[in-house]
Amino acid sequence: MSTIKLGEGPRNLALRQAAERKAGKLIPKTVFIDITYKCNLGCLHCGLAPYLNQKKDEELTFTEITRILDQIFKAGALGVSISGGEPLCRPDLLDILEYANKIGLFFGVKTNGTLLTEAIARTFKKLGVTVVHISLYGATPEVHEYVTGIPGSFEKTIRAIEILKTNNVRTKLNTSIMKCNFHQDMEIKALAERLGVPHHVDPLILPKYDQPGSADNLRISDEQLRQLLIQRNWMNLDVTVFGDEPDGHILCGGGRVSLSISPYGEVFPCPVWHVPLGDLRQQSFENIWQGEAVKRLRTITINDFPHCIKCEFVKYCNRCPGLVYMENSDISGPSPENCRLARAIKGVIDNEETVR
Amino acid sequence: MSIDGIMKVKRNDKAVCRIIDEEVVILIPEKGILYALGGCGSRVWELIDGKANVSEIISVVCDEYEVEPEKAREDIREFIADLTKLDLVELVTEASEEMNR
Repeated sequence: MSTIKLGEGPRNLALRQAAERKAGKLIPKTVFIDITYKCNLGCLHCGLAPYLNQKKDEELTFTEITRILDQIFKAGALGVSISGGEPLCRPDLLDILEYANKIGLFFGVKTNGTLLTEAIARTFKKLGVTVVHISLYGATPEVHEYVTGIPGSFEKTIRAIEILKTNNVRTKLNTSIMKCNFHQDMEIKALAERLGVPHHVDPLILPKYDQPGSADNLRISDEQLRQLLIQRNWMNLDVTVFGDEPDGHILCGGGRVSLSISPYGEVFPCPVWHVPLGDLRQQSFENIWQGEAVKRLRTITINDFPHCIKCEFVKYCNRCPGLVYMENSDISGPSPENCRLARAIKGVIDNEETVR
Repeated sequence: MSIDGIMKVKRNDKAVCRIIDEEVVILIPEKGILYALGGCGSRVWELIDGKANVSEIISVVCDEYEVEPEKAREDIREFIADLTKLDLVELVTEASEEMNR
């Protein structure tokens, strides 16, 4: 027997891909798949609301999804992020995950947790889910259910978190912070600590698709934003920098390291930016990944955003082209909401108000 | 590191793995680090189930591979020590099991 050793170099597919990526080859890292637009909740702020439970087309079948997973794996992706809608509304979710596991794809799942059972949590663990993201909008049923619109959803979500914890499934809580739940921010944080799970807050509320301005009344005020930044150290500056340009962080990973797939097989740069790049019912994933539309995305540089690169807040900005696309007819322009967040972050830093 | 044959070997509960190209690829999601084990290494990883001890793992490998037992003992102990350093597994003694009950 030869000596058994670790770290004999990148002979493994995944490691080879990592090495190739490092050497500059464009390989997708994570592919986002919304496997359904069905959802059992009706969240106030859901950007997908105009699509949810609307039968635009037949959703991808299990067979179509497995074919797509094969193509994603072959293209070199390390993993997929499964979301929706509510992915547990699809009865074949666990079959899909089992298939991803079998072919060697890592995966995470985003869910509201209300349909999660002990058996599902055990299967998540057995199949090696990397993380389960759960959305929680309040520290009490009143506030959480004001957002979700469904009585009883708070208790079910909390129960899901407990079940996942009991089964040692890596779990993270996400809270979209709005006017209606801002007052519970610290209570939600305390609840997450009691439950023993990391908690992430996000004040960036997207408008509903095709309804620009629909998030304006939900978003926290400038003063609340300032308080949130101070209380939670929400600086959101831990972003990926693309290319060698000094402000490469305002470029987006859509088309560079990721793509997003709708329940109907449409391909977009990311789950937020719904500009069509291809159709997996007509083309292969590789064909789209190497196609002209995606290549055009990769040619975008910071110089394509003349307003942004001259902006005094650019260093603090996490410019989202998807949000620009929804808010502003000029894709090279700024997103007023990203500008507001960047301005607030700079204000707090300049005044040394962080509790960091 | 001194590895006793009666020590049980347990995988880090945070590690998730996949089989890719007949190799075991292990990911620690919190750290985002990937490790790959090929050949005998992937078989040893399979045998690490939290119940088998170091001697039992060595014994199975000796049965399945043409190998000198002394060499296998040495290699596998070194391999398990490496996995332990990388925080992919932990060695459990009866005393530590008792304390965790």
